[in-house]
Amino acid sequence: MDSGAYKIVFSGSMGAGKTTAIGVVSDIPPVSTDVMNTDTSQHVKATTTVGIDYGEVDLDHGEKLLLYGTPGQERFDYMWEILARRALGIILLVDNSRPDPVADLNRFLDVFEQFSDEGAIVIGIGRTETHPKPKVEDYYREVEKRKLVLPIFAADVRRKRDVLLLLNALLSTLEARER
Amino acid sequence: MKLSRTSQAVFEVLLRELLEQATGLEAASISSIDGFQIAAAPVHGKTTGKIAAMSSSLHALGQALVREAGCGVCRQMVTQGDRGYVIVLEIPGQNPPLLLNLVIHQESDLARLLQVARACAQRVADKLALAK
Repeated sequence: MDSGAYKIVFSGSMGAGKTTAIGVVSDIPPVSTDVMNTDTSQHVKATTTVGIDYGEVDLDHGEKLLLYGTPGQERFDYMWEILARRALGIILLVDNSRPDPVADLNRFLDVFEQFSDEGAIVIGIGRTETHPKPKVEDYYREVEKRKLVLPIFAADVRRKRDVLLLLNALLSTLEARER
Repeated sequence: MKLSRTSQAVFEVLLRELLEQATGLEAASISSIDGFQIAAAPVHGKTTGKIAAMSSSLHALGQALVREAGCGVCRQMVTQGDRGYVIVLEIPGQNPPLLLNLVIHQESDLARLLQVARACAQRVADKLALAK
């Protein structure tokens, strides 16, 4: 990784908002690998990410965040580990409107949990305004079962300030570790 | 992407014909643009569901890369191993889009290889047009 460039990965289930989150904060036109979704039985979205999303956020002093988004569907799970290599942190997005969002989170924590030793993980729960349960507290309890302490926020990734909150929480977690 | 057994059988016959006609072609599959394997020949050969998903990623990344570099539209993705090649290209004229994935023996003439791949994709497209 070039000095002054920090890799952050957005992951989570299909439709959780990874492509949207990167698109809303990126200072460059984001790279997208969205294609037609031919299996609407799994999700009604017209498109699905099959490669990566990519965007950048400029920081002070010429530094930047490099934002990578993974595909959400499990047949692309080989991309999750590939994209997580040398990442500073992972932002896991959860769609609270899905049938079992806690199970969704656990599936991704199974993949990324070991990453929490080297980097940081922050969890963003989406669609809580229309689907208030499970509550954020329920996710904290679930994460505690794994003996993890992770920041968890309700976040609407269509709002730039919510995505910046997740990024700032990630960076703050890393700064706190360095002290 | 659900197909009838008849449609899948038609695709498999088509791919077997490709294997017979194209020298050096070891395996071939047709997959959806979002990574589902639709048909393969040989049926339990080198092309798998995982290959279909990876081909989808590769094709989409190729499109993004070529677009970013200002090089037009991605025609095919060629991955060279030390024992062969995997080529991914879009079958012309399909809606929804379909990908043709080819596993080819080590081939010293890359130009011929690319020509074979494009000819295979066109042959599949022509057969599909006849079947409609």
